[in-house]
Order: sequence, then structure tokens, then C-alpha cells
Amino acid sequence: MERQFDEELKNLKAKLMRMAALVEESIALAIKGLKACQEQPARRVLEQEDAINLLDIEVDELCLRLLALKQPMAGDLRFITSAMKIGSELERMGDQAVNIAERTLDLLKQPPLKPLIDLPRMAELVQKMVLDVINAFVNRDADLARDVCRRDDEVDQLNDQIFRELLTYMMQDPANIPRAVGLILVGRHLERIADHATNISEDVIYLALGKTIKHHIESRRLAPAS
Amino acid sequence: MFFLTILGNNQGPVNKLCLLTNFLMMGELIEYGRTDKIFTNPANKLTEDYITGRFG
Repeated sequence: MERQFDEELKNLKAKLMRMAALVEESIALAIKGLKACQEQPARRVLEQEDAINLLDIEVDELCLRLLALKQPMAGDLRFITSAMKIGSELERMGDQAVNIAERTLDLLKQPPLKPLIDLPRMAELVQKMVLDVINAFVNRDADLARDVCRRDDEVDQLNDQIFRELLTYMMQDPANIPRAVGLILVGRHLERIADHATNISEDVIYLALGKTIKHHIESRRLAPAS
Repeated sequence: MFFLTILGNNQGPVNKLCLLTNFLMMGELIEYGRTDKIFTNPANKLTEDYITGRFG
């Protein structure tokens, strides 16, 4: 039986999808600006930030309204509470995209330190994680969400590798430090986007299965008591 | 220890007072368990549909 409440849930989902699309675009533009050494994509990211923040507020307000007035239960309750958390994570991803754009604008003031190879590779992994986690949310696909969680380790390892390489540049010549630090920070921002995608995956698994997997709680609960 | 049994179609008192919930339909026990689990993540689709207002 279709309920009037279902329309409101669809509206909430649509707002989240609009927010996710803007965040995906911001991340893509930020990376494009860095790879192609162009200011324009980076500036577009800064312009889009407000729209993402406004949608975050709209999602929060709608969720609170639905909780107060409809007293949802079961799957509806999990959807609304997950939507609040996912909105928050998406907003933080948007902030990290802005941070990448700001680093790019700084880096463009000087000649490139080195050809970018690992950072674009890391960016590609992170963008795929973001795309997949949004699909997992749309389809309530817990398996895809778990797969996104697993990929976070690969992103962390790549970030460590980038850091070690840039450290050698800084040690070779102190004049390299500002640009190397800028690139290290870009790696850090990408790593944080991946962490947020992982958090969204955990929320999707809770939404789909009613199971909490945050903080490795499953393995901690199975471990024998000391 | 006291046991209080509430029978009814109104979910309000069940949520507020009961530690355990049994969901029966047409004389058949559909699902039972902790109230918080039943109302956040019921195992049976009939239970889910009832408590989310899709029927009843």
C-alpha cells in the first residue's frame, strides 16, 4: 500500500541524490584543476560549496520534521537516521573538495614540483569509491558498500607512499617544501574523502541490514572476553 | 519480577512499556523479540509492513 509518507521519503532521497551529484562533481572538478593546472575548475568548486551546504541544512530539517511528525519505525526509521548521517558525510566531502581546490590555486602560483602520477591514481580510486557508495545507497546494496570499505586500505597505503616520496623532495631542497606540503595536503584531503565514503558505506549497511559494522564492532563482539 | 502483558493494536504503549514484543496476525505468531529490535529492524516483512503502516 502506497502511503503519503512514501512521497516525503522520496523527496528526502531526491535531495540526498542532488547533494551527492554536486559533491561528486566538486571532487571531479577539484582533481581536474590540479591535474590540468587550470584555475577555472578549482574556482567552480568554491562557487558550488554554498549549494552543498544549503542542501545539508534542508536534509537535516526534513529528517527532523519526519521524525517528529511521522514517528517512523523499522526501515523508515533507519532510512531517515541514515539520511541525516549521510548528508553530514557528503557535506564534509564537499569541504574536502574545496580544500583541494584551494591547494590547487596555491600550487598554480608556482611551477609544478614534479609530474603527478600517484595523486591522480589516488584520486581515481577515491572517485570510484564515492560513485560506488552512492550507488550502494540508491540500491541498498550492502555487498557493494562492504567492498567500498575494503578499498579504503588501498587509498591509505597510496597516501603513505605519496608522503614518503614528497618527503625526499623536501629533504633534497628546502625550496621544495611549500609545494611538497601542498601536494601532501591534497593527498590528505583525498584520504579524508575516502574515509567519509567508508562512513557512508557503514550507514548503508545499517540501512540495508539493520547491522552496525562501525569501529569493527562485529569482530570486537566476537572476541573472547578478557 | 513482574510480567505485564499488553494486547492491542496501538503501538504506543508497546513501545513505551514493553521489553519484549510478540506480533500476531490472524492467530499466528509472526515474530517475537526485544521491542527495540522489532521496531528498528524486524526480521519478518509482515511485521515491517504492519509497524510502518502499510496495512492495519
